[in-house]
Amino acid sequence: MIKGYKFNTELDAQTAMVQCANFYGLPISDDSITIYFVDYNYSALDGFWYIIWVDGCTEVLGQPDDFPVTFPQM
Amino acid sequence: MSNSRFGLRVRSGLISGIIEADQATSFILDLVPGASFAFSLRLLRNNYAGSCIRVRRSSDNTESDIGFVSGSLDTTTLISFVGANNGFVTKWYDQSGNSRDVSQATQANQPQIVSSGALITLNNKACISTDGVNDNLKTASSIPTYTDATMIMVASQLAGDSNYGRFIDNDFSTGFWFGRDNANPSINGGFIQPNPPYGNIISVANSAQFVLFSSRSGAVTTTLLNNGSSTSITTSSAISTANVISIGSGIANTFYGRKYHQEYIFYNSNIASRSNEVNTSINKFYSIY
Repeated sequence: MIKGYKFNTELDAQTAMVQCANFYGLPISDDSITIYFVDYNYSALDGFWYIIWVDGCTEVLGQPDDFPVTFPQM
Repeated sequence: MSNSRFGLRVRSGLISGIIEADQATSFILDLVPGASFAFSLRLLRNNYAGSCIRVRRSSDNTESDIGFVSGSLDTTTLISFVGANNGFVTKWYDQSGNSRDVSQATQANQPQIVSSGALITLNNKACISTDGVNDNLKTASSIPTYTDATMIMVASQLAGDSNYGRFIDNDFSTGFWFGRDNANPSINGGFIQPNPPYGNIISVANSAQFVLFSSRSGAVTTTLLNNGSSTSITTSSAISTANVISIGSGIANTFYGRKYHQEYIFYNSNIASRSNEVNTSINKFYSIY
């Protein structure tokens, strides 16, 4: 199970990612490597996008959910 | 960045020359030039003039390049910069000269090197910690394809790591991969191994620092643990394709590894004939075995 946020479209996931970056003022300067607070992933086997919850997400994206993600096998 | 690379400050003639010559010849990339990429928390090449890592401090998200002192990561400058907070690696600079730096632009996914003002260490030397959840460092572009190859790595895997959690990855079926195998526990990995067991399996205890020397000649991959204390051989005739590198996960952001990382050096050639020299040089610095 993953604790985080599920999205049906990539645009929704991107919007959430940008909201978090803006909330935390990232990037802080032109030479910063750090651009985003969190990133999103696509689960090809499940057909949705998701952001893994980290401390600081709740303030921006609200309470996270627990949901299964099917990872590829080797 | 400090220009000081050697611990001894003897500056008088012959003795100084001898000391610096000994130090210079002990650098891996001077012993065996031609690496495709080379990441370490110590200096790997006498003439390398760049930084070691770029670090973000948690207090205000400011980033700073950290260099070397006495041939090792400048931990004094690092700790001074981070203060009593956490420090995260945003970029690990490639010392090979090929500019294949690995980086991470997402704050939550950046590996850690300082925790609450304390340097994270493995066997008393600095290491980079990936959490096995979402941390990794990646190249911006693919590395060239290869037939023969050699990977040298100094690292450790931690309890709670997931099966196949990666140290470093270039795609298991079309490139190289090195990660955990839940048997025992063990390390698994190799070059272009699309079929089970996917590589050479060698038992290593959780949290144990090790040096792995894995080389491919033709279709045969031979992996030495700690200069031959264990050896594993596999065969795969598959060919490589161009992929990026990921440290701490698979290249597709899967198989995250809970690891400590200290050094990765990769050659587009088989340098197995130099394994004893290389392992001895590494052990002289790290005191692994």
